[in-house]
Amino acid sequence: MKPSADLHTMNRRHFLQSAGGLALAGASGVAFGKEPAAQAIRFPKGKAEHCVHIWLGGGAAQVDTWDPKRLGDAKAKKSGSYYPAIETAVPGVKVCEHLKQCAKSMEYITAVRTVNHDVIDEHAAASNRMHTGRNVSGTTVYPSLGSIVAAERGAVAEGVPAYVVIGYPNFSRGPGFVGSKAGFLYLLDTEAGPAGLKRPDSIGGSRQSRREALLARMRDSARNVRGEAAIAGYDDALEESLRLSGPKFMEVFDLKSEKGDLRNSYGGEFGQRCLLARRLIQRGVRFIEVSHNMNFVNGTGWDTHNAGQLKQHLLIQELDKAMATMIADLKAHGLLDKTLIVVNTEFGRPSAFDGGGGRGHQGSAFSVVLAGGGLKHRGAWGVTDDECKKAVEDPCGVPDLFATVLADLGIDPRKELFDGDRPVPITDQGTPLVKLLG
Amino acid sequence: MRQPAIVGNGSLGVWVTTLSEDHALTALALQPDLSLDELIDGVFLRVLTRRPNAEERGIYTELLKEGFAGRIVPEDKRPPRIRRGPLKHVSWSNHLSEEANRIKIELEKRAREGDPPTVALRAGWRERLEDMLWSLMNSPEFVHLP
Repeated sequence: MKPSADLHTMNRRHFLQSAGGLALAGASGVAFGKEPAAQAIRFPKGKAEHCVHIWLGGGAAQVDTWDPKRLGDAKAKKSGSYYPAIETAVPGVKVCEHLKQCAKSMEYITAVRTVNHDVIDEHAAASNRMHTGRNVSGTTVYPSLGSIVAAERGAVAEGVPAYVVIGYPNFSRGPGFVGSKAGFLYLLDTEAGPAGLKRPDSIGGSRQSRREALLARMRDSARNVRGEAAIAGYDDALEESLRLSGPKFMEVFDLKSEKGDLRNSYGGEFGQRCLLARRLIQRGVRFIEVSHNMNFVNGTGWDTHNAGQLKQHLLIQELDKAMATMIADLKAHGLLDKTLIVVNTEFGRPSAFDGGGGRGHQGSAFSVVLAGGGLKHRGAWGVTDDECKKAVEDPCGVPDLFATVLADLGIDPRKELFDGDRPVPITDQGTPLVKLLG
Repeated sequence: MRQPAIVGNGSLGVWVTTLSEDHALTALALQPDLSLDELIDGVFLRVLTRRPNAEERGIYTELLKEGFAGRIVPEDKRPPRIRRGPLKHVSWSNHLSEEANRIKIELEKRAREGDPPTVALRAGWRERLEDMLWSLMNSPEFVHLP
């Protein structure tokens, strides 16, 4: 059997059966598109109020991180893990030796080892799949997970955005058909601050005041010239941007106000982004995506073909340090049970080595890691075969993964959204990992 | 997400509201026989495709009249233009090397900074004209793409 939970894949026969079922349902007076009450699917709701979505661009190798196997040998082309595995706080669950801090916090972590999909050849397409849960379609632009959550739950507090991206503002992270109100505020790095909100360095306080004084008069003037109704939408957005770019919200980006020891334990720029994510959560932001190693500073990033393999341990250590610190920091602030951390990536990598001693792409089984969020953690979910290639126990399709995240955030994973008049299921018939929801 | 924020503070906003050597409003402001009224009309027409009403004309006359007559720096007193050296090329064949990465980041930094302001207009007056341009571009009357 295909190691996928996409058991509902539509083939023609299945379609005819379902259509027949619908016809019968119609005949017995059940409304179209609704489950009959007796069969309604009910999933437990989780406890999460916030989500930090860590993105490992390039495709992180599960066999070298969260799903270790026997040691391989890159030179001898013997497949297997590149690093030795270590024990974790959860008996029987091992991870790679460079995840040593997370290993100690494994009771708050579940590495879902059996995520799988069929998009492996192209990073952008696979990134879209893992952001929207869907393949690119010619007719519908699907919303990202962050935008779905922003649209369904909004921000936790007044006066802050619901969805912030610390990374590149691409289409796959966007709101698609749910509309621009579920879009994101983004920043490329913690020093630069959010695009559009941080004043340009060349504009000092006195010039900014002069500009705003002139603009205030132009806003009055626009009302007279064009009429209140014609400018209302833009004037509201303008008001919001002036408010968010003011000191009250922008203060959140001032990481220097945090203790030096804490900043050091978070580590470099990626760690500082995770620290910023915690500060955004405290102010009521609902969903934050944090990109790791955006500019591929080691040459290939997580896309460890050929010689990219050589410095992979630096990336793993950086992730380990920041993630373990974030778990401890959120816990210290009483936020860990309310904050689901998802470590996501576009696909995994095979345990066999390529011609240059690195690794190619693999979508048939890879690890996405969940932490915190009040889940019943168990260190690891699912089992893959000795080559880390196929799920042998508890496969988790991409829709199931999305359903788990949504259910933990209190959103019905079988809800229908609407693209204009067209109903679009919020996940592609995903079933959450109910045992984790408790 | 927020057009007003991007126009107000983003890279594009900085480029458009910096009067560089080849900016259309630099060329306009450098016309020797220009009157202040003509300048204000010209800026309004370019940004909002209309002329200012009397009140608006008053606001910007107040802003720009000081130093208007002496706004142009005589050619023999202008400092040399700032020029930045070329960088090596990066393409598909070498984009995974660390040096290629550094070059791309430097290019991004240069792009974000945009072109430097003109040396032909006096800085204090030029900044006031730039602030006028900023306030018109950020007016809710400006084209909105929701």
